[in-house]
Amino acid sequence: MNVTDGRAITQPHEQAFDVVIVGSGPAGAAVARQLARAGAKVAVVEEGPYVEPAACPESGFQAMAKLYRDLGGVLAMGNAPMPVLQGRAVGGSSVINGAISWRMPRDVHAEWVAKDPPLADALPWETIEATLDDIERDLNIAPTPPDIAGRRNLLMGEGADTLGLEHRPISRNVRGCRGLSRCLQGCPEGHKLSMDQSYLPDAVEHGAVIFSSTTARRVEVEDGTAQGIEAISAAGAKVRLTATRAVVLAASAVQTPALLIKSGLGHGPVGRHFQCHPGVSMAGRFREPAPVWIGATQGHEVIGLRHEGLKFEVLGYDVSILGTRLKTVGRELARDFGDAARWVNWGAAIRAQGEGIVKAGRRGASVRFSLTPDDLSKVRRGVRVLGELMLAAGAELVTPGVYGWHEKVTDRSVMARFEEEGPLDGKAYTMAMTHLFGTCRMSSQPGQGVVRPDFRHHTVDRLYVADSSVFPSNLGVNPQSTILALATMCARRIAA
Amino acid sequence: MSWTSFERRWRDALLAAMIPAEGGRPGISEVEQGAFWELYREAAPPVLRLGLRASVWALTWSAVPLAGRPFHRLSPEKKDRFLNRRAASRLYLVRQLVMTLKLVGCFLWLSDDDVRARVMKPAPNADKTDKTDRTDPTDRSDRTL
Repeated sequence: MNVTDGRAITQPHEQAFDVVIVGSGPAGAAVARQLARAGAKVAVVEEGPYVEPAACPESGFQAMAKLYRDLGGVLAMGNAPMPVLQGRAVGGSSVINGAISWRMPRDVHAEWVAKDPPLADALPWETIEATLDDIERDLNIAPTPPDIAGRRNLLMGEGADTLGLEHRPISRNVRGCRGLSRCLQGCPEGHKLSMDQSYLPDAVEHGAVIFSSTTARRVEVEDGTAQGIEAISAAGAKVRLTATRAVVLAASAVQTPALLIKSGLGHGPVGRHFQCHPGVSMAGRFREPAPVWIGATQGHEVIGLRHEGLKFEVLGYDVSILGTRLKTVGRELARDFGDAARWVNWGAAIRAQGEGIVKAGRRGASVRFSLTPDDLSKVRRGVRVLGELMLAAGAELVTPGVYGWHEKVTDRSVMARFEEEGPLDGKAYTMAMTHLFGTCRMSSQPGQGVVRPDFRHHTVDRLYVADSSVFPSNLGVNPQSTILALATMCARRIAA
Repeated sequence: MSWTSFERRWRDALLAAMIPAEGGRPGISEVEQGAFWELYREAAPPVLRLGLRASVWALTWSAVPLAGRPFHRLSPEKKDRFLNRRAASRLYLVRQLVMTLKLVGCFLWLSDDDVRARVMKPAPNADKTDKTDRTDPTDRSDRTL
């Protein structure tokens, strides 16, 4: 794919486009593709580098250094501090996610409309459904076949059958996947249809220009109308891109509000109502080998408790990350590595009700987020079910990894007590945060939201927000497909 | 800010104790570290760099009141016991210091190709069940979730 590399832009650069998009993840890529196909002259500005599949390293550390924001070390502070995992590369987080593709749940759409009825006309369910159909076709989204799932994915189904919980193979946006377990390090074979392997090349083929390693610093606004953006290349040169039709922010629910704040557009609820899906994981040792490095990265899920705000997924990542999930240190950790092929890691994603805030500082954006008591109850239930699932699937022991509770558990009845006995102190758990929402909420009421139901900024003309920061709430499921669908609808509005 | 020579000695002692040689696999102290620390210097955000440095200082010198000597001067057995005690500390901050050290240790150790090859090999089926901490033998598997 032809990309203009900001590391090579050493002189001030100015260029005019119809539409300038900030961010090349699913939202930015969907808008770019849609508008480029409609004949618009489109620019996409991405802070991270363009990394060819063959250059995606196997080592977790090297991959995180190359493809993740701040080595995955951005911390959301609050009553349960946790890392915020975000991609920072052409393709955004789609490069480093597990390729999980969920259709937007109808009940979530109904919640949004109940809270803000004008959204029913702006985001008609039938249009979302039809757009999701197109996306599923474009990205070859299909359930993970058993022959590439790998044992650790199949085990989750066996455990769920024993517990009577609904489960299924995860639907993923891949083509020709061989089950290398390297989605989170960037697929080295380009078989994951992340945005750099799908929508962005299509956009480029239709004339879009991608500026990689170039950081947007400010949205330029004159007389209440967005004029373009000011950016800086990785080589330190000023880059000014003007837009005659629209400036579209699609840089994530952390970076988009931060950019608005830095541009002097931080009024109203910008940065507020931050929501996410905190995740808690558990390691279990099985009698049989089920290596984290063999099979689909994330190929199976338990969906039977989604109505409670809990979803369970098999996790797959580099063995170095597995090491951090083992609850031992020193000699015992070294011994556990001898059994690495028998350690499995599964996680629970929580549909948290807690809301946080994103602020823009001199050293970048910061996130504050705390779990509510209800969220912590869900975390406890999630840990219980994870442990029971693993033991029901044949784990000889599980390590809940919760401070103040059993270090190792071999019996389901012990895990069952966790829901009552487990601590309600968020710091007792080891958690991580993915799927970020809500910081530039869409609302028909100017005081309640940053953008209108048609994605236009409430007060600045020609300025749009297309990423998950416009979502009125979190989804409880993996958001990539919903982001793609809504961003596509945003692009249609701009094109109209 | 780069590591001073004495900080490097403390850091290396802590990391060596975090993943020692075991079962034919080399420990952290036996793997080549130059390329790792170079990339770490380029890529690690300030919060991680600060966290690791704080871990090194705090864990090295808290060993004096708790184990009688700075960490790097303890015997291998005492180092192991000390790390395990700190990992189970009732203080969240102390647990996080150990976690930070462990995170960097795992990244470093598994950046080595030989270590990766030795760790990522198929394991035979276990021939016996680990009975550790079977605290409640009552089977109540028929209750609902």
